[in-house]
Amino acid sequence: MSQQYPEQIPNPMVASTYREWREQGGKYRLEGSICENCNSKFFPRRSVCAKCHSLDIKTHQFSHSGSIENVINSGIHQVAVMGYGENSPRYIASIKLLDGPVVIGEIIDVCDTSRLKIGAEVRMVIRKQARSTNLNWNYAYKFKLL
Amino acid sequence: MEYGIVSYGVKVPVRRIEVEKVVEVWKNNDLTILKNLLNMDERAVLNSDEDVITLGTESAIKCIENSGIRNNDLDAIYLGTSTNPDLSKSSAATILEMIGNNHYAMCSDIQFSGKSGTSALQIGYSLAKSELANNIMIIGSDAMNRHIPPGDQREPYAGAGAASLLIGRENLIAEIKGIASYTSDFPDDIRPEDERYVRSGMPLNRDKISYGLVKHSVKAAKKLFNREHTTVSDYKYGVFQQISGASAYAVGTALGFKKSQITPSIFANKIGDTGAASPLIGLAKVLDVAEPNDKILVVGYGGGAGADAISLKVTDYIKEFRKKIKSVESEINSDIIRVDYANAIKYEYKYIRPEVSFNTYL
Amino acid sequence: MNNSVAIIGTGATKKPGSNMVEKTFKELVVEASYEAINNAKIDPLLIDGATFSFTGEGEIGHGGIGATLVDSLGLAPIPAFLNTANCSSGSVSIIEGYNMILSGQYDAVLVCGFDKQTDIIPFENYMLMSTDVMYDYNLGISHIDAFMLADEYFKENKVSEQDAKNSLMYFAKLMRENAYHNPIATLYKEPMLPEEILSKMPFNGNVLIPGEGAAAMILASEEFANKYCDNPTFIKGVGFSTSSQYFGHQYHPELIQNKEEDKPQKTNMASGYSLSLACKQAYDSANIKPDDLDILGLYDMGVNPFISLEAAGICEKGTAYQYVLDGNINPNGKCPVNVDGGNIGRGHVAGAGGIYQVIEIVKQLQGKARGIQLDNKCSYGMSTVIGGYYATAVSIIIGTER
Repeated sequence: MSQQYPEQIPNPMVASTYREWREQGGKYRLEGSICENCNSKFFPRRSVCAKCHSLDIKTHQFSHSGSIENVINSGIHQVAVMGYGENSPRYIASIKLLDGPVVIGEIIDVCDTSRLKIGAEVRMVIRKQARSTNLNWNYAYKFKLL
Repeated sequence: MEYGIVSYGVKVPVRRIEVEKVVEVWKNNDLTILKNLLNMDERAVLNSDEDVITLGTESAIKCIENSGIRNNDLDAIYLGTSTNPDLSKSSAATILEMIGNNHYAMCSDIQFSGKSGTSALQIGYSLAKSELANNIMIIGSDAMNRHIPPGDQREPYAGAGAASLLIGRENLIAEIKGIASYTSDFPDDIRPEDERYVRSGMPLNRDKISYGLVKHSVKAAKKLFNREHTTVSDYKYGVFQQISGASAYAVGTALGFKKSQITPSIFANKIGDTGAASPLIGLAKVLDVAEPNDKILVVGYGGGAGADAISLKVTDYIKEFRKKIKSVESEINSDIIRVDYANAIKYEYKYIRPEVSFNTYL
Repeated sequence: MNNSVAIIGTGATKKPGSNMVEKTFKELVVEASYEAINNAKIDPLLIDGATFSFTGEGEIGHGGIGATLVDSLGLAPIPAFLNTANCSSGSVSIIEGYNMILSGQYDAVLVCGFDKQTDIIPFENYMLMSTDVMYDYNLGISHIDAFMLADEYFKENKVSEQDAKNSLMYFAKLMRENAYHNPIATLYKEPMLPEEILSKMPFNGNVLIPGEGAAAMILASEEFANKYCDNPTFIKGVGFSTSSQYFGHQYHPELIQNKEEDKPQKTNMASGYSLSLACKQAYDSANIKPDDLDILGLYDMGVNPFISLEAAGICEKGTAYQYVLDGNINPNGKCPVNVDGGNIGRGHVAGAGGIYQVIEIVKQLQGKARGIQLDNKCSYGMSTVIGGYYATAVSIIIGTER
């Protein structure tokens, strides 16, 4: 797709920046929700409590530290998610944050794979994600071994 | 009332490529010159998911953690960078959103090639001294390696990194005593509108260094000495722009510093040119070993060209501060992953590919 | 009046694990639907409602597809409903058709699931996008990662690496064996791969083959079936439960709000809790037990066969891998599984979901299987599918008696 030819490519599915903007709290700071009524906590954020169904729900920032529940060396190469090919192999993990929810994320900068085991402590960092269809950069959480 | 540095944080990528690996591919550089004259062993390689903003944010978060203030106490945040991921809007705004929520902080990006960080520091100090702001976050962050062309002679030492300083007036670890600058229109490095790669406008030889880096740095430093009625012998340490592992010595010895006064700040032999972050990482590295009452001279240099000189005096509080943080040395030299040239080019997105990602055609 | 809905005709395109590049999605739907209509031997205009299922508009490039398909079938003005639920779309449509008949408002309903993956280039990525996108796909995390994280099954049941490998490979080989004999399977008459090659594939060969096709069936009320059909089978019970597309929620059983007394305190990617709920619903509504099943269909990909076997109550928790190794799921075993080859051997059309599974069960119950025909007389069969990674779980029980 050379950028030198002036015929433009019409793509009706180009995303606006709104969706990513609305989720900045979750992607940049691991913000989820807390129910003022029954104190249940949720990640990702939601607008009604899944336990007591109260609409009295507020933003809550979760701890940026956690431990590995399970981790894999991802994948079936033929079916990789577009935009993440430069980073193979990717270590996708279920991570239990200190104050509750399990978050699925990638563990990066692994220099010694023997340290990637269940129970290992990790900490959130912010890294680039795949570029948006409107060519803007996107950032969100990933995790690093302590 | 004194004003100065309350805390600092440093972040560099964990990947490295040795100079030999680059020279092996292009065979356009003399290894002895690189290793002996320019004092280079290896340099940082960005991971495919790192950039100026991720490095800046991580260094700022470390700086805040080391300081003990709450995230949304910042009155101002300035990002000094010459390799901004967005060409019009402010990346400092993104960093501000990432570290916490004081939307009322003064915020802007400062651009002056390699001295973007020290210029931001001068501005931050001015705000503190005029009492218009208290907790001011100054970040210097650059990814020179992303903007150097493959096959360029400077490729073996183009690095990346970020350093953050918190400026305030309580619990100072180093007081800022004075500032001075020297600027002229000297086009030694250029990057006209919308070009990806930073190019040298002049042949790479001694004249470029002496008319650019050395002259401007010396003039700024001497102006500072003048203002403060000091001389080089009043200073314990000198921190200068590290374009390679040797450039800081060129400036320091021209000013009259001994090599042993410059060596504690040197890190570019392992990391490469970190642009705006360079003087700030050098300063942080010196603060790892400095003693109370030591005076430090920091001179940042940016191509185009200009230099900022800043003098600091370390306080008694530095000893207590150092007890609770990781040393800069361990931050930048732990858990290293060495990569080869093909991978370095892949991570830095220098292969020519179609704009639309098909990945696997599945 | 009991809750039985008759299945009076079935039809499906061949080789669902292969691409049909010469055909449009309309042609595939017409082929499968009219095979079902002719199998039912009824006038197409007797159909008074339809429900279609596929994985979504983005890959077909057409919106409002209900009307398009009804027009392609020449059946206007019947009402058409749509379902999308990842790989369980088809089974969800079956339940919708079932509900339509039981409501009394419809006599004969066409259920058809289809998919056309080659009309966009990165189809698998389009499929992977049906997650909680902002926190999954946009972070480069996909269903495939979820299936891989399910190796918690082996870790928590302390299965040795050798047993894990052997059980997965046994299952993969069994599916290929079954498909070898099935003329509509993509791996029909394909020679078996040697173990060295299987062991290098992901999950030791337990990977589904995605393809294009359509599968359809005609559901009818008992009255209608009595009038027009001489050997109907019956949907005896259904179960349908949802959880969440976000994989992290699989570790939070408190988000599942049913009022069960023995709800587990802790779950993970290998628990299959949603499916066990769906299966229980199906058993309760059909009034039978796991031992009454003569044949089982399950969604075979990765470690999921073991999780599904346990969720369906066929064997105790933590023992499914051994149950498989002991030969119990072979065609001549205690509980034959995926006799047509499953997603691994027969092939998988995402939007058709479990319709292919149900069709195989129907044919076995009627004694008319195209591949391996089970010897014993079958009275009950159950089809189980999951959509996303346990975001939806559907269970359908078919029987021979009214």
